[in-house]
Amino acid sequence: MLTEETDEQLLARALAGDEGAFTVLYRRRQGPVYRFALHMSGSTQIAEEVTQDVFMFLLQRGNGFDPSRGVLAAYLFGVARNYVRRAMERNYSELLATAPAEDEVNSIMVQSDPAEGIAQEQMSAAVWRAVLSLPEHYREPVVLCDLQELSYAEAAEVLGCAIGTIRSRLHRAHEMLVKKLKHSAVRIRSVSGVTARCMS
Amino acid sequence: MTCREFKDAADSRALFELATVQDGPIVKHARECSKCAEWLRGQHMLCGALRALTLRTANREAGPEVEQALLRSFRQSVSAREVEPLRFALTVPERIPWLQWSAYAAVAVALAFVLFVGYRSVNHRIRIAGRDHPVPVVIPRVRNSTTAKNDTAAKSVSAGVLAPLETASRAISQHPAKASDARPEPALSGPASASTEETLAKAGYVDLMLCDPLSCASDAQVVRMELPPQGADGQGNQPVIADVVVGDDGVVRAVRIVN
Repeated sequence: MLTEETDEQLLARALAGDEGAFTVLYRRRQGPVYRFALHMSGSTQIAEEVTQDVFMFLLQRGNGFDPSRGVLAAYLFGVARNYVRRAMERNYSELLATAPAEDEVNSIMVQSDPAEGIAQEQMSAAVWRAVLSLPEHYREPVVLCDLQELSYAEAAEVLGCAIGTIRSRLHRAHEMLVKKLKHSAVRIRSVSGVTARCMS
Repeated sequence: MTCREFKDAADSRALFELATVQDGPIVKHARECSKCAEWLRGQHMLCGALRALTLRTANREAGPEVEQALLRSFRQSVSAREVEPLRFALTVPERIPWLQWSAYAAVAVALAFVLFVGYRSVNHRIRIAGRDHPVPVVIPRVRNSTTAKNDTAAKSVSAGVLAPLETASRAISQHPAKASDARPEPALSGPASASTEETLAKAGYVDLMLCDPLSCASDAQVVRMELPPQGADGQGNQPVIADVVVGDDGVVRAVRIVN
């Protein structure tokens, strides 16, 4: 069964022309790649573009992947990281003009049930805004370790730096996020209090 | 535990690990230190918010159009790869060294053959042209002549002394030649047969055949021969010495009576 094969085996078969193997690999790995790009950019448009670019890259230059240097998932995140950076540089003015990140963040609240845990949802929207406002070298470890739940070692592999660097960047990023969230929390508490009274 | 140790211990754990810690030195210190407790609460809040964000976006994926576009590209790349082997087959001779060298050798042999044929053709044309434009010829010299008279004759040949020898030819026709003392002489220079004929005539030789240009263009040798004595017509029993010009084809072309 294709679904039981490892990423590396699927990649080898896909590169040999097995469409089924490529489909399985894509369906297995497109979600994390898409969410990484989405968390990094806050734009569904960029996330889709990056996902497509990453797997196109894999089709064209997948032979360059060396399993002895790491797992395929980390390799894909590394490729995605470069494409996100390029896409954001290219679309920076558009992002500022249309503020897609804001739309994405607000969509979370629209989709959710206001009766349950609205404060937490507002908090998640706030934390996303805070994450997006971080400098890139702080945002990357937060997205990889806190949102994608990679280990420090895996994140270090993706970013090509030492584990100690990941740890120190995360510490600093958490400090900045907490500071931003505390400002938001006061607002959220007051809003949620009003909402709760309305609901009752 | 000091505040510094608290921070070090907290930093060594992941955010989600830190949020799940319920007891131990970290929690104990947080109970004692309000500043560290505040810091820990901030971390818990951040952890909760990030966890909520993770859960909210957990089902976000690329749309089906991305997969379709990728599969289209995949099929195109596969079909392009199927063309690759044909291209490889066309270029394979370049990749096998011995085939390449064999091709070079064949070209070299063909070139050498063309040059050889060309040389032969040019040489033949020069020979034909030589008939119209006489070229100086080496006068045949008689080597190891039997008598001093012969030497004198040879000298007379080289000097181009003319002596009409119609009778000699008649004598030859009457008496078959005996190839006694026949010694091959150095070859005449081949080309320019017309010039050779002229020179031979000047040296007292009589042509015995209508020379074909091609055969006469080949090398010839002068052979000294002793002809049978002529007793019948009263000229005594003395043998007749003659120089005979014999071509490479074995045909006698000219003759000269020496004595």
